[in-house]
Amino acid sequence: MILSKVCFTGLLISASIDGVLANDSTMARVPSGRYESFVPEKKTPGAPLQAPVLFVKTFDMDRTPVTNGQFLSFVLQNPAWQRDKASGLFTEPGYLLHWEEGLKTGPGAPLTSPVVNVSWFAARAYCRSLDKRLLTTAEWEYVAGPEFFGQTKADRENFLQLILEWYARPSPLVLQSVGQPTRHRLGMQDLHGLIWEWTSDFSSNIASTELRDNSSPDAAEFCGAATLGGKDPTNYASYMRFAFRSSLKGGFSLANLGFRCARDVAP
Amino acid sequence: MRILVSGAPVMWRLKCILLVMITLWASGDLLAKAPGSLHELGSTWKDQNGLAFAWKDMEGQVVLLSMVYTSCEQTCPLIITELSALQKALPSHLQDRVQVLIFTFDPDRDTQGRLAAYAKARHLNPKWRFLRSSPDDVQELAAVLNFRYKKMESEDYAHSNIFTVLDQKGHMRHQQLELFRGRGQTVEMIQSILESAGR
Repeated sequence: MILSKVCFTGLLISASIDGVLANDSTMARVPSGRYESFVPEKKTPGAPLQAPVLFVKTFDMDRTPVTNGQFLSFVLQNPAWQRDKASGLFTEPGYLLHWEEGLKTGPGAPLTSPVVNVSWFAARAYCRSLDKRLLTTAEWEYVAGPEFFGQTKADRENFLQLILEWYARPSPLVLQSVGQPTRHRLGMQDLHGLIWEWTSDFSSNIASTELRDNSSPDAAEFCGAATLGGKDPTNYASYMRFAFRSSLKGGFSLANLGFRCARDVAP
Repeated sequence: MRILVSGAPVMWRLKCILLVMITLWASGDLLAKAPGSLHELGSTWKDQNGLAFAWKDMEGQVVLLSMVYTSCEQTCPLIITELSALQKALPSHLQDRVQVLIFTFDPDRDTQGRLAAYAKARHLNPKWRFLRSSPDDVQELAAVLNFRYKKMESEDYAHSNIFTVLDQKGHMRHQQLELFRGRGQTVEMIQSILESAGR
């Protein structure tokens, strides 16, 4: 979270923001499809627990996560989101703490690397400033799912293994640039292996203690709750993202949490 | 949470604490950031009578608030009951000095008409305001309050039960995170804010 600050005491690099503004050519269209949630629900109080299959409408999304350079240009145009001006309602003290100064990214935050240490509120404001929005959790999980990374069983296993290996590695102090090579069928980049990403409805990932008790799901309900217990236990990475999101608060700034934006497609 | 007793995790924790302390010291200037006020929220809402509500209207007002949806048959009526109990637990001369606000997180179904009907059927205190806005603004408020909600396939919601106290400047002073439990603290906080203002 805020530990990274002590590690950046190198040369200052003044920021150049030319050519880093997002535009539509940086987005790609995602076809509609279905995302099978692994959080089972009951359709009616007496029904068996079943993983809901959610329909995801077609949408446009950024090919890569938002970078430090792009976020710098945003805060230059929207001073209310600058590090020393941002409200305590929407950010915590670790907000943009890996930047050298309020308007200087510095060596700890290369312009082409994904911006991190941004709150959900800041990420949302960024997307709105470009007439975009954050992805929903269902959209994110759908487009980042194994189906987009190959068709064979071996592809799938390979994909999940790579993610788990990434989750097991500590985050580097300085993140790599966005736009890493990808095997994603739609050419989406950096969905796995670089950072975690905010979703608009992160707060719908609910894992209270009541929900963890698999032994008595009926007793665990509070106003219609879900019980965890994966339909597809091989997609353990998805479960980890769920657990991660369920621990987030909107103001959090984390050294490995960034975002990208999406846009509705006119029907 | 299980407590770790073996040596290694303890050492690791100590190192962590040390690092955090160094970092806190190094970034002391940033930690001075003032707590935010809900009055900064730009969202606009309408109450059960069609009257507009903006957060700035709450300037100078002590607020007790919660989030519900009216199609809920399980805990939501209990949330209403809890709000009422909290207000009535205050000394009688202070009861009218706290503004109770209820925000729906299901604005699709909770139309103004429905909120009005619900308020009437439940004989809610007419001074309470039952508010709705766009799903986007609801999402923002929920994030500010750390309120979690999820629409299920059954059309019901899984959701938190949170009661929040705001002072006259819109700062969050207390959150009761459960029904029934912690009522005393919530009432004490409201009372102390009101009494310190009255002095």
